[in-house]
Amino acid sequence: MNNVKTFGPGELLRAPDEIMDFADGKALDWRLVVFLATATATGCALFGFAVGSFVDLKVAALDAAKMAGVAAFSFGLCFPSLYVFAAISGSKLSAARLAVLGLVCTATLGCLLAALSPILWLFSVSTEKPAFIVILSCILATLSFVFAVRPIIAAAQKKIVANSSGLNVWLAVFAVIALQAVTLVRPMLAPLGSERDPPGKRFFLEHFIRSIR
Amino acid sequence: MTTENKEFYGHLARRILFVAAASGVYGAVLAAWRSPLMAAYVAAKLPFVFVGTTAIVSFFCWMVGLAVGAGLRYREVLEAVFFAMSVAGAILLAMAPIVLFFVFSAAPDSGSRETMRLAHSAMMLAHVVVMGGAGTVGVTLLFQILRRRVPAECRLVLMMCLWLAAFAVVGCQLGWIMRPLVGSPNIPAELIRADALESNFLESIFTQIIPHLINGGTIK
Repeated sequence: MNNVKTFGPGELLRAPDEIMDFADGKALDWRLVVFLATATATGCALFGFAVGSFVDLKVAALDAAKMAGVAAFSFGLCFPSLYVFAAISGSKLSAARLAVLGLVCTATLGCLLAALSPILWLFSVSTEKPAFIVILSCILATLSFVFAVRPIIAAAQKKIVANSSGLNVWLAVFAVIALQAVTLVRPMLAPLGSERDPPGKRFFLEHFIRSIR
Repeated sequence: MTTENKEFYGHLARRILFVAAASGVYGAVLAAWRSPLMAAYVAAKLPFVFVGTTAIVSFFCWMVGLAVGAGLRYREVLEAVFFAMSVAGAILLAMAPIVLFFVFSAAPDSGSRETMRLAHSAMMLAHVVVMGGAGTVGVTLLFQILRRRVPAECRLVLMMCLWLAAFAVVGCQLGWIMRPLVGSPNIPAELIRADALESNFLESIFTQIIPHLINGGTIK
């Protein structure tokens, strides 16, 4: 029987070190790349859908697309810093393999966001206070980010990097960029053109504080 | 010129070029919120601050190295300080698109004098954090490398502290002379201020910043 390796959320969450065997010099499996990118985008989209469900189905669909875009944009913008921070941490991986390592982190994040989306959705459709949804989504996203550190720890254990500090900083930078990107594509909790959240340049901290007031 | 010398100078030239290019790119980002002209000015000025600081302090660093028993030759010190600067430059280069994104998505284009002053202060703080972080990483890596190279009896921590202090003082003063770098929204864009050589940053700490902190007044 052909020993074809399968990729799924189970493999990603249970044993991230096994999924990172591409770092041992083996050829990159493009199915893995597709799986990781899909897991990232789908998880973020589901989370966006749950957030947007606070308003209506149209906003939910729009938010789903926005969140998938936010994830892709943030990853692209943070890739140069991933390369530099990983190199500082002692990585000798090529840019392509490092991108896959970054995708392992974001895919873990995506899986967690997807798993938490039904909970967020339940609260979204059963409250009328946007501040509550903002706070809850921040808590759930933070929780997901905590789990996204696991592949970084696994990378350090597998000696892909000498220490995990550089990649942890990268993940924090990714989180900050994602938050600013979410601020850029607002409104998330109102229909487009709503007066509740007027357009204009705004720093994410200012935006989130305004949202919960 | 011997092969060893050729290699050394080639290596050093590449490092200097990289530091200049990286600081030039970050310089453009630094002033991008103000205007394209200001961005071009700072892109041209910041490499002078980075390379100039490293060149000016290298002699002092060598002397300190001799005094604490590091036994480093001048060329080794040059290699070391430009290595730290290259690491900082690589981090600044990696952070440039991220900072640019923040500049264009968060910093206001216009507003009241107070809004723009606050935006300018926030931007200054953010750049200080990014550049300070990049410098710290560079120095930390340099410290790890030097720890393996210098004799055990060398007072490496003292040496690194003195090196850092020299970098900080000279870097701040060169930056002060090359003002404006971030570009205050209430002052017209210019390459170098007319009063560039009429004061120094230490004076400003004692005559403006400390009185401001004590009295809660407004900095002119």
